[in-house]
Amino acid sequence: MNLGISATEFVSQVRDGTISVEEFVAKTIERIQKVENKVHAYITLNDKNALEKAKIIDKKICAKEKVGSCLGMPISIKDNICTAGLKTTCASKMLENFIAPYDATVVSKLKAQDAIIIGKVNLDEFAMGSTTEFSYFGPTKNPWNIEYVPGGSSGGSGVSVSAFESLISLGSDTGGSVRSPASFCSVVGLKPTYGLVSRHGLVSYANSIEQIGPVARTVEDIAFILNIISGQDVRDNTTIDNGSVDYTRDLDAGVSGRKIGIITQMTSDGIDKEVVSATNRAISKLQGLGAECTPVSIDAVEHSVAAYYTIASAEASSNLARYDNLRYGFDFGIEGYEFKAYVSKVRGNFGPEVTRRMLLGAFVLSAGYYGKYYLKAQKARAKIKSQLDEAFKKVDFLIAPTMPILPFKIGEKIDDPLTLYLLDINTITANLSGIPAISVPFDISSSGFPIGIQLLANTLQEKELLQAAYALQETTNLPEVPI
Amino acid sequence: MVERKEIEHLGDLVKVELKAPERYIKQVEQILNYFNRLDEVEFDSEKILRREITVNALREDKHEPFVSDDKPLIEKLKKDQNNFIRAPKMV
Repeated sequence: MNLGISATEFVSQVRDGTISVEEFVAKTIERIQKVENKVHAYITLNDKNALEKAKIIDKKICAKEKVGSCLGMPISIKDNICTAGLKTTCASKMLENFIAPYDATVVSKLKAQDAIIIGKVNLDEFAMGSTTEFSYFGPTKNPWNIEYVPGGSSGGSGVSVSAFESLISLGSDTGGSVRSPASFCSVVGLKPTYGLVSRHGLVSYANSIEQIGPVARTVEDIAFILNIISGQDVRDNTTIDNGSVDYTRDLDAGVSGRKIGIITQMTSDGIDKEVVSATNRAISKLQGLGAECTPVSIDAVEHSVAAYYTIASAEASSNLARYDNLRYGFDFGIEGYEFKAYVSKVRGNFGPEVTRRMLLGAFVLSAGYYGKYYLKAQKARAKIKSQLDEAFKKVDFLIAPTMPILPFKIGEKIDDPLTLYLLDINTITANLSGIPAISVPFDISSSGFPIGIQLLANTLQEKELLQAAYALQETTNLPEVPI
Repeated sequence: MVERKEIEHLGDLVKVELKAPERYIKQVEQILNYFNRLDEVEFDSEKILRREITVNALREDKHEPFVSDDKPLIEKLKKDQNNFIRAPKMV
């Protein structure tokens, strides 16, 4: 049985009886057991429940009863999205044994369509990181070379889909956390428009910029899953009405006559040569399909990393204030401590990156510095949005490499936070401005690492964005993951 | 210059006992120096992003039963010996 099929192919093969759900889920679990000791994508496996659910769905199909559109598709969920009855750890000691009493809206929507939650996948602690090295449970490894980082923070999502351990995964993207692992692991990752997908049940890190986004093997699969998870939710009043668009329709509309702007600031300094050359080839392919590509300057991008980390740290330090080990936490006796000492002691168990961001957040928000950092960051953010608005008057899409460099060795940059922050330069623009962006696997470098190309579109233009991504995907012919 | 005293003060503000404050000094200083480039940003503050909320912030006032896999939520509450109840953990 081929576990490397797309979710769309899975649906049609289950429908026509070529495969049974139980068989596919069982094989997926077998695959997980085989490769997990190499890649470590999962934190919690839901294997027993998944198999039971698969049997029920098979019975329903046999009896010609109504079955949801996912037809028992095994889907993995980033471990900062709440799942009733299944641990949600945020890859942190602080939530080591936390079991949410409810499902996030996205999870209940998937369950309503008979998706099978196969397990919860690894991330940087509380989604803070770009490499999945900052997990309390240890790093996830890149299936293209297990000595290298898979990107992050949704590294478990990227790897589980890339290494055939799930068909689709839901991650969260605060500064590129879905697109970075998608690019490093040769899968597709979408950060939707802010508000398109409900965040109810996503453990908060930086509310004004984060979005839940899907990781999948093909653009068709992204469209399929976006149809299910998008839409307004009364439990998240930042959600917006998308007019019930069907993202799967007219995916093959092509890019002929479309205008694509090449973001100058994201394709020049500090970009790996092979990444630049892949980007240029992607641009030529799109031109060959009839798109008109011209350089576009968004100079506010130069302040985006500083603005992003100021805002994200500020929001993180306030969101994480709630982890006092009283309402949630791990076993740690209170005897012998006065209140503040107890709280400080247990909070000393946050990992280094989370601690760093809380310190930075407290600093930029403190009296005397608010105007210098936070307010200026908000201005930089508004400037980016305004320059993007201008750009989208002239072009339909923007293009840039997803990641400026190729994957690097695990541990190589772990003690250099600023260098890691700077790797987000091409992805955070979409988060600060709220626009959608997608990473499409485009090439493999001479050293054998995937290179993803990022396309960005204006607010709520996911349908057009997916059409362009599909056109780009159809120009590629990539090898299978070597693991 | 960021000093050890400042890092400890920040640790105090965010209520985290820092096991090795010195490891954060250089990193925080380096990052804050990088943030200084925000000084160059000139933009009319009137235009700072404001988001319009399209969903009614007040949900409809109707009872929705809590759906749970096993027993109802109320029965999941742990009863304390002093007659307190412990609410479930909810992030």
